[in-house]
Amino acid sequence: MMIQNIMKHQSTSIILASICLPLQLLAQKNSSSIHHRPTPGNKLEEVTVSVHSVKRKLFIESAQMGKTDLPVSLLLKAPAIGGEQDIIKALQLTPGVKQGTEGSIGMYVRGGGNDENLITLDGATIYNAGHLLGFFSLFNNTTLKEAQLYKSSFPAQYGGRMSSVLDVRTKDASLQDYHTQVNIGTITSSANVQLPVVKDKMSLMLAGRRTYIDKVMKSVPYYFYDLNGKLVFKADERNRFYLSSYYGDDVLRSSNLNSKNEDQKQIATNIKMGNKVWSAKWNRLSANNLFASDLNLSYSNFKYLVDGRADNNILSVRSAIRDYNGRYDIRYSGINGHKITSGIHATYHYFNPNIVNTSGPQMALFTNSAGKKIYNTEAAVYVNDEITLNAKCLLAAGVRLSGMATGGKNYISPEPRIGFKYSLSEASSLKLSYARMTQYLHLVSSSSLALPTDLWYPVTDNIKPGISDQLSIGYYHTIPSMDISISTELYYKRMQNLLEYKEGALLVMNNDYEKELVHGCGEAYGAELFVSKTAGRFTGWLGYTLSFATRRFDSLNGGKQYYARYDRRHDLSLVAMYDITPKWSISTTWIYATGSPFTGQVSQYIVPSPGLTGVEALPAYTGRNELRLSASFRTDMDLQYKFKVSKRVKADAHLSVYNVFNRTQPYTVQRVPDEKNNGYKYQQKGLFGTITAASLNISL
Amino acid sequence: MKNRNVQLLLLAVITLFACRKPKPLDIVIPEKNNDAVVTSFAADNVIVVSAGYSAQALKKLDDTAAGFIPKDLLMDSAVVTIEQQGKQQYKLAKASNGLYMSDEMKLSEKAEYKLTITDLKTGKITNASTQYLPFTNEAEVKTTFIAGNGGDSLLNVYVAVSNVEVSDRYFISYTTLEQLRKNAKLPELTSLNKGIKSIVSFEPKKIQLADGNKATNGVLEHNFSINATRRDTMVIQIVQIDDGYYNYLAAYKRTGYLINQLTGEPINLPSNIKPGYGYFALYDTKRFVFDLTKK
Repeated sequence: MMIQNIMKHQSTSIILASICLPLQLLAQKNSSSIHHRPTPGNKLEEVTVSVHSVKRKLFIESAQMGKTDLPVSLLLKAPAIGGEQDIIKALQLTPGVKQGTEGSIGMYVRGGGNDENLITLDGATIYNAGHLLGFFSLFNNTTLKEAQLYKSSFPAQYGGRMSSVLDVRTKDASLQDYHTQVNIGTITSSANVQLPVVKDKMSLMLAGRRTYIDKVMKSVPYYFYDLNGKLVFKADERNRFYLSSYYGDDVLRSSNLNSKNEDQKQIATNIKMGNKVWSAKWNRLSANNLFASDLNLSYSNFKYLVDGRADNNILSVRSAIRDYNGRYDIRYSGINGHKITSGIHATYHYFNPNIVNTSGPQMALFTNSAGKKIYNTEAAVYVNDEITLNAKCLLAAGVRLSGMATGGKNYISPEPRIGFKYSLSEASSLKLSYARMTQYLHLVSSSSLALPTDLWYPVTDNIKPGISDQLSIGYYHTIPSMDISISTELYYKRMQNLLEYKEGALLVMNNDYEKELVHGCGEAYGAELFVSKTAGRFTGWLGYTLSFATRRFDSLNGGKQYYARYDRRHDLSLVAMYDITPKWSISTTWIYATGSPFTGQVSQYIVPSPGLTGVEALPAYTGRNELRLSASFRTDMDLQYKFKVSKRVKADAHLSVYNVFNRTQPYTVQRVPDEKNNGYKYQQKGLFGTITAASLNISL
Repeated sequence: MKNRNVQLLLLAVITLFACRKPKPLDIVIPEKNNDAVVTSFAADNVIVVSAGYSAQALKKLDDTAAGFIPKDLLMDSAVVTIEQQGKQQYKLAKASNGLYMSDEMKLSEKAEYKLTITDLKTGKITNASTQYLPFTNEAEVKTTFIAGNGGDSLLNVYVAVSNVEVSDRYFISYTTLEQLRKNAKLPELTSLNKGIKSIVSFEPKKIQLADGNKATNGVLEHNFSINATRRDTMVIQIVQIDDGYYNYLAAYKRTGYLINQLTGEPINLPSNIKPGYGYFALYDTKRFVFDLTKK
C-alpha cells in the first residue's frame, strides 16, 4: 500500500504495473534502498524498501513482458564509441534490439523497421533522435532519469508505432539542493545545472551539449548542439506541474564567398536539421489516494533545410513536421483487485515535405515547389484493467481505439492488448501477451543512415496505416541471493501495410512521393534470453536473440519473400562491469552478430547503345537480400577512475577503447581491383576500427 | 616514479590504439555467366537484334570503355527469327558478330511478334515477345535557349503529341551531331551498314519518358531542359512503346541514382528475354532536327 501511494503521487508515467514507478524514483536516488517517512496527511507506516528486491518482485509478478527497464546509470556504464555513452546504443545491446549501421542509433526491434519505434522525451514525440547522420542520439546523458523500452505487451496508453516504445524521462531537479555536472569528452562536452528556484516549491534543470568537431577539424564546418530545460513546480502535496523543453540542431556551413580568389566559383552550402520539443504536465493525486491523473500538452517540431549556392544559382530544399499533442490519463485503484488506467489522446500533425526554391540561370532544370502540405488529426482512447484473479494469476486486459482523419479518408483501428501472468513460485512465473499496434506515419528511407531523403509520410487516401500483431510467451525467474534476473521470451509478429520505395524510385526533387511507394507485409519471430545483474560489485547483462525477419511486397523482388534489411540470425551481447576497488572500475562489452543480408552482384552484361556506337556494362544481382555479410564480433572496454577534486567536487575519468581487436564490422560490399589475379574481388568494409578516447565527468 | 611509468605506459597504449583502421574482409559471392543478352533497335524499317552472353561479375571488361563488346560475349553463331503469330517468319541476317538485322520486314500495327534465337554453339533457345507500335500521332517539337552562352547553354525542349490515349507510352531521346561524331566508331559491318547508320546514337539515359495518363484532351505535352552548345545540331526522336519497354527504360534511366547499398537497394532491370537479360522491342520513330546556330 505504501508503495502504491508513493507511486500515485510521484508517477511520471502511467504503466500497467503501476508499482514500477516509485522504483524508478528510487533508482534515481542511486542507492539500493530508500527510507521513506510519509507526510502527516498520509496515514502510512514507515518502511524501508530495497529497490532491487522490489524490482525483482515486479519482474516476476507483473503481467508486463518485453520491457527493458535497466537503470540509466547502468546502461550508461556500457563502453561506447569515442567514449560517448549513449542510451540508445546501450539499449541496442539488449535482446530483440538490432543495431543498423555500425555506430548508428538505428533500432530494429523484433524484426521491425527503424521508423516503427515511438521515441518520446518527457511525453513529446521525437521524430529524428539522431545527430551526425544518426551516429549520436539527441539525449544528453546528464539529463536522463529513466528510459523504458517496450518491445511487446504494450500498455494501452502507448500507440502510434508498430514495434517498440522508448519512453525517456529527464531528471527533476531537486527542490532542496544545487547540483552541477560537467562532462568533458573527446567529441562532445556537456553541462547540467539543477537548482531550487523556490525551496521546496520549484526547481529548474538546464543542460547543454555541443560538439567541437568544427573547432578541432577546420575542414569540417559541422557541429551539433542540444539544450534541455525542465521546470518542476510542486503546488502542494497532491499537485505537481512540469514544463520541459528540448532544442537541438545539426549545422553544416561551408562557404568560400569571402574568398579573395576572384576566378574561383562562389560556392556555399548550408544544412540545418533539428528538433524543437515542448511539453507541459500536470500531475494530480486525489485526496483519498485512489485516483491520479496526468494532463499533458506537448509540441514537437522537426525540420531540415538544405541550401546550396554556386555563383548566382541557388537551390534550397526544406521539409517540416509539426505535432500539437494533448493527452489526459487517469489511474484508479478504488476497486479491490483492479487497477484501472484510461485516457484520451489527440495529435494534430502538419507535414510539409520537400519544399524546393530555386533561382539562377542553371536552376531551370529544377522546378520550384511549395511541397505538399498535409494536415492530419490522430486520436485515441484507451482503457486497461489489471485484474488480480487469484494469488497466482494476473490478467491485464485493455483496448486502445485509435484513428486518423486525413483530408479524404478516416482510418479507425481497435487495438486489443492482453497480458496474463501465472506465478510458478515466488521466484518464477510464466507470462503470455498479445498486442496490436497501429502506425499512422511511415518513415520512408532509402538508406541505413539518417539522410535528408528520409521522409516521414502520413497515411493518406492511398497510403494505409501499418498494423502489427504480436504474440509472445515468456518465462521469468530471479535468484535473489545473487541479484540476478533471468527472462526468456518467444515471439511471433505479423506486420501489414509496410512501406518501401519502389525499385529504382526517384527520390531527389520528387514532388509526389506517394507514387514511389509500395505496400507489403512482414513477419518476424524468434527467441530472446536476458540475464541481468544490477547490484553488487559485479553488474551487467547477457542478451541473446535468435530471430527471423522477412518481408513480402508484390512489386519488389518479383513478389518473392525476402529477408529484412537487419535480419540477423544470432545476436549475442555481454556487458560486464566490475568495481575493482572503490576508485577503479572496468566495464567491457562483447558483441557477436550474424551478418546482415544484402543484395549482391553475380553477373554483368553489356548492352549496346541504340546507335551501336557505344556499349554499357550493366550489373545483374541476386534476389533481394539473398546473400549475407560476414558475422561481426567486437570488444569494447572502459576503465574508470573516481576521485575527489575537493570536498564537494567529485570526478571520474574514463579511458575507453572501442573495437579493441580492430576487427572489421562489415556494413557494405564493394568490388575492388584484385592485383594478385589481375581482376576484381569483393571486399566487405567496416566504418570504425579501434578508437581510444578519454573523458572526464565532474559533479558537485 | 612508479606512477609516472604507469602514466607513460598508458599514453603509449593510447597512441598505439587510437588510430587503427580495420582491414577490409574478402567475401566470395557465387557468380553466374553465359545467360543470353538481347536488345533490339528499329528505325526507318531496319530491325537490328544484338545477341550476346552475360559475364561473371568479376570479369574485367576492358574493351567496354573503348566502345566494343569483347568477342567472347558475342553470340556469333545463331539463328535469329522474328515471327508474327500465325504469319510469315523472318530470318535476320548476320551483320557482324552478335548483330542480326533485316530491312525487309513489314510490321503490322499493334501485332504481337515473337523473337527466337537459337544459339548454334550451345543449342540454347531464347525467346521474347513484343508488340509493334508505329508512331502515327501528330507531334510538334520546339526548342528555345533559356540561359547561358556558347557551349554552356540551357535549351528548353517542348514536345506536344496529339491524339494520345491514356494507355499510350512514349520515350523521347535526344542527341547532337557533335556527340554523334564523337561516338561514331561503328564496327566493320556488311552492306547493311548504311541502314544501321540511319539509327542515330541516342544514349538511353538521355531519354524522357512520357505517360498518356498526363494528356489533356488527347494532347500530351512534355517540357525538359538540356545543356547544349549554340553551334550544334540537335536531333530529337519520339517513339511510342509498350508498357514493358516503358518499365525497362524507366528502370534503366534510374540506375544512375542507385549507387550502392548505402543509398538504395540495387535492382535488376526488367526483361522480356526468356531466359536472359535485355529487352526486345519493335517500334517506329518520329525524328526532328534543329540547327541550333539559327536560334
